Amino acid sequence: MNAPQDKRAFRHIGTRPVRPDGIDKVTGKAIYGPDFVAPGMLHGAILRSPHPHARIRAINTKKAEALPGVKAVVTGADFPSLAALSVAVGESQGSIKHVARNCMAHEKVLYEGHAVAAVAATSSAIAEEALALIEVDYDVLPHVLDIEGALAPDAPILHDDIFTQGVEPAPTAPSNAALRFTIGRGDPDAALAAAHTVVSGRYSALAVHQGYIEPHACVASWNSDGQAQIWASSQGAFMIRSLTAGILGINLADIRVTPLEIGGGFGGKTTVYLEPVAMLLSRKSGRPVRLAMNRGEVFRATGPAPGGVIDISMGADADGSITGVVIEFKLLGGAYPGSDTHPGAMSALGHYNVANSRVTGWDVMCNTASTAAYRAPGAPQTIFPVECCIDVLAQKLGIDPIDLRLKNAARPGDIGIMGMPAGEIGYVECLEAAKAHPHYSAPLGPNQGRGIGGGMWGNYGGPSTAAVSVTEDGSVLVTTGNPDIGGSRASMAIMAAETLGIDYERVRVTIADTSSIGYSMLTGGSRTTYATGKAVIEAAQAVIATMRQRAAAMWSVDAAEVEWRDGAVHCLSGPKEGTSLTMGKIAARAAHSGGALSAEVALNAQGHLPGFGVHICDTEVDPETGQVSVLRYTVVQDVGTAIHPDYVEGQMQGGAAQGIGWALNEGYVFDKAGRVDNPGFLDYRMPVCSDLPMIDTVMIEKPNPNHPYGVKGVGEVPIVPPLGTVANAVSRATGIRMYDLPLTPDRVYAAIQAKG
Amino acid sequence: MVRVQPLAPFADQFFGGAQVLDVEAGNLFGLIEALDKIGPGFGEKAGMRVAFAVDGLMQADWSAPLAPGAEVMIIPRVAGG
Repeated sequence: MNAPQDKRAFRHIGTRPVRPDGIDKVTGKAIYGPDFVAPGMLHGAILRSPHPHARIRAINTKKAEALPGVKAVVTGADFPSLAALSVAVGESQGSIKHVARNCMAHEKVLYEGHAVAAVAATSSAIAEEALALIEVDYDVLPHVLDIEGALAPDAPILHDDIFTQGVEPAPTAPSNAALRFTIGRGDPDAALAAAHTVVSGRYSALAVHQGYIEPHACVASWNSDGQAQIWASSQGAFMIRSLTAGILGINLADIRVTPLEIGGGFGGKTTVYLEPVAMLLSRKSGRPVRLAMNRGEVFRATGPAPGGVIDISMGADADGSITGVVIEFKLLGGAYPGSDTHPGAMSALGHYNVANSRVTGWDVMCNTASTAAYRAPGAPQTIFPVECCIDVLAQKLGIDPIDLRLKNAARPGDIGIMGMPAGEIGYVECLEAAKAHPHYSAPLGPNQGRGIGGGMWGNYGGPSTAAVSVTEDGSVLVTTGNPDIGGSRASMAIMAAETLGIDYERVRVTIADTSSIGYSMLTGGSRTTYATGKAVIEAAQAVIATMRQRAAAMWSVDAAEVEWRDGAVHCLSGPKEGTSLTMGKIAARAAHSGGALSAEVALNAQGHLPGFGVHICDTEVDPETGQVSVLRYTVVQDVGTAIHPDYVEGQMQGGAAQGIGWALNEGYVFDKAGRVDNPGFLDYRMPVCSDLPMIDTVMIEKPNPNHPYGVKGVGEVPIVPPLGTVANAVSRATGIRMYDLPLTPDRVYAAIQAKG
Repeated sequence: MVRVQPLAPFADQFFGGAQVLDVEAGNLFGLIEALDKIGPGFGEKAGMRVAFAVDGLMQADWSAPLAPGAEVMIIPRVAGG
């Protein structure tokens, strides 16, 4: 029943209809986070620390409170005291105390831009003026911004109550290393000792921001009876509800969170920054309060993906069989624990079948904004050195880099580093398609190089709820609890229309607030089309079952005597044999046959499969400046069944563009005082259209047998391969192995000069 | 009896660094209850922080029966961005 259906039989799956939210978004009618207005709303502003590390001796808010127009001021002292309870933070886990302290510092600030106080006033200008009247007495402490410094014996310690987990014996002194995590199989040390060829290196990548266009914003209204509403753009309204309620110590049912349109998230909107603060301001003022970040606040105070340093040794036989790999990486997670250590370790070798391996990850803290998820969190950083080492091996052994990858590629049934067998994965098909692509055999010119890189991401399933209801005229409403980031309204409508056998245009999709639909995990982990799609399909099937029963009752035949086909019930026997009832006709009689036609399905989707990708990149390096130009780029990816191919291809292109930025351009610059020196898109250089060629896409549709239509997650995989792919392309263009990202012109030029 | 392998950080945090634990349990709910007695506090954390793999496959349905001799891996719950 759960096997993928024959793609040729699909009516809607794989088509490219216009997205239902398109007109609102291109005409500016769509309401994003900063657009929302509530009656009587106040305007909030947040005072942020100018120091990366300091103890707060005192905060005096009296002058600000006295300013005409100011209605409320809050500080960390207004937050409930919290035990270090764990809660679901976005798609992973963390301490609610740390989430709360990240929203508003208490006793210590841990990075420049850390919130220390907030004001609500009758205008933004008054709120800003009030911020200048708040007096904060800081005891400035030494700060640390890098891994080496954070782990030094005399390092300034961020948290006195964090001791490194995962080391023996258990440490007795606090540390900036929150966690050490090791997984592995076989005997990698012996394998490396016996290998024909061993390649090693220390690689590094900087922290990069998710770079969403829309800043964080929300409006909160907390009434005196304890009930509250929040309107916010995020990757999960239920996530906002649970974190805000947890931080403020109130019932989940007392908060109704309405999701607004989201202008990009990429993992960065899977936690809260503003909502608990806006709630406290609202409670104090008795009015709705809006908080919205500016671009500088986004860069200074919201989570980038962690940078890291990765040591790797990879051994292989003369025929290219990889026999052993040892990786030790340290990710710089910013002010609080929770960098991507676990997924980074689990992903590093996920696309290869390596019998002997050990991967050790460290979660290291420093005085920068606390990191957050970013597309395939942890995987780009740990797979980057793996792909570089394979490129070096290919050169040393004289083997084509795709052939070498094919020789070692993970295949269905292979046991991975976690001891679990791979399902119907398509890495081999991706590699074969990449090798057959005209790009791979196209000629290169002087100072040009071609890089290959592979990668994977585990994807996810998890809990989702969906409702399907048939209106009185037979058109259909689908309701889910997952914000539409990448076109999921269209995908849900396609899957509902496919299941019901009706036109796509007869299905409309609503993203409901948290009081109007059952719980759904946030939109992240490449899970929504898979998991919420499953819920939509099952709800549509439940409605079909109801309509069959209703029609059978109308015809006075057994339900087994009717069938559902092409959006109508058909009678198969008896006096009514050959008669049909359309959805519209059944719906019109619904009130007289048992009531409205609707079903809600809540499930915890299992059976998700990882996704795999292979990228090809051609670069040209200007030897006089070190400037790298991307000439051609191709993305090949195992996407399962593409429900709406436009959006699948869009994910592939977007993820690749972000990965190229990580490889070539992006990175924070700090001044000597530990302050971010480039908190804007002018100086924080993400690639724009004029920087990139048209990114070609090749979808490998290897269906997931655990989904009715064969869906796999697609949104995260494409950011994984570019780091290694681009580094390999530049290395081959220059003849110099590149270890440190980003490959900015100054670094590349210095490497060329050093080579002589 | 089922064989349990807790990975970091759970092995250190709750089970004294034990790499393998043999526990009597009929399903994952029962297993969590049993493990909470060995490592107090594990049960509270399990809902938010833990994923289980049973005989090499992820298992999200904690009411599914565990066969005698089943191998259960306790791994950090991760999803993505």
